[in-house]
Amino acid sequence: MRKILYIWTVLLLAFSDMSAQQVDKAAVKAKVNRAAMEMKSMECDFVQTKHLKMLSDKMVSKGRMYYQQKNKLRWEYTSPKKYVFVLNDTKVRIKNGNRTDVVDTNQNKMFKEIARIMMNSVVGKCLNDDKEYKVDISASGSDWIATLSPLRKNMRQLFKRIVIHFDKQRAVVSRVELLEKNDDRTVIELKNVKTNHAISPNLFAVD
Amino acid sequence: MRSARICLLWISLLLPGFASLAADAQSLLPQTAGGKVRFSAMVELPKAYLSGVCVMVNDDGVLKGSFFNEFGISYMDFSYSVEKDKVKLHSVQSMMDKWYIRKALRHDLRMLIHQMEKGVGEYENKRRKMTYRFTPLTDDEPENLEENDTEE
Repeated sequence: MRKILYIWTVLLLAFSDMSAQQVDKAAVKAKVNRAAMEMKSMECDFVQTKHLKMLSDKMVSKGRMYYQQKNKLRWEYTSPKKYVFVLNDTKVRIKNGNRTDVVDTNQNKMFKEIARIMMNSVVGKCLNDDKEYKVDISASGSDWIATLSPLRKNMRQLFKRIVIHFDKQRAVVSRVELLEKNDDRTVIELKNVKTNHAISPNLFAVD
Repeated sequence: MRSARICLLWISLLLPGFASLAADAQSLLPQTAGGKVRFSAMVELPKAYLSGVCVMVNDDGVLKGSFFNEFGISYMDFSYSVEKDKVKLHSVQSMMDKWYIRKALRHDLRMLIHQMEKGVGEYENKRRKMTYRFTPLTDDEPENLEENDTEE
């Protein structure tokens, strides 16, 4: 009898543990939102790998990213090409080689989309965008994985889906995958993430 | 006199060979099958520009290329048949996917490739006021940005 009770206890514990592993979409969203709200600033290194379907090849770019609440983002490529993209509210400054351009995202659809995708993915805001994406959330190892299927036509024309990995412990983004219509895939991995450190405002200057 | 003639004959025989070698050395395109070249690419239009990276691969006489922006979002995939001297567009970003843009791109990429064969990474379509600038990228570029950029 004792043996049977023991087996039942073990089985019950195992099942309760399994149910704990199941993803409660609302709870994950709430945790990510809380972490995003508490994250006043973030800086990290990133490695971006573009997988080129037609060429069966890949291209790796590296750089550094800085984010500051609200709507301030600096996306700086250092290798193999130098390129700086600074978003400050509705303005974008791009330094491309010797050329510097300032663009108002309200007047440039393309940059508005890019700025929105980068900002919302990095911070995890896009999980709340029910009008923009159908969101599925699953768990794997130490990550929550959000799979975003675009709903709007102009986004569907660009991406089949966007997959965002969140570190379960910190509820912050660790990896973003952009799957395009031509089956190219871009994977951005965020490394050495530091949050709530002071960042020089000069890094977000656009004028 | 005879030795001078022999010398001239040798020069006339060797010169075309050297000229061809020099042309190959100048070409910006991947020369051997499986060869790959990456370019920092920019297309300037009257009111805007596209910039990013273009990767070109030599696939047994067919040049295959992918042009995408810095964030990795594709502008277009294309191929160029050396034998037919023809560009084929395999995919074009939806915002640019219009018949007249495709026509212009097919023409301009063909002209640009002709330029690149001569070692010039630039082509200007004067009628449409479009300039294509493709500069080979190296793996060993310095990791740091200029000081004046980070300390604005």
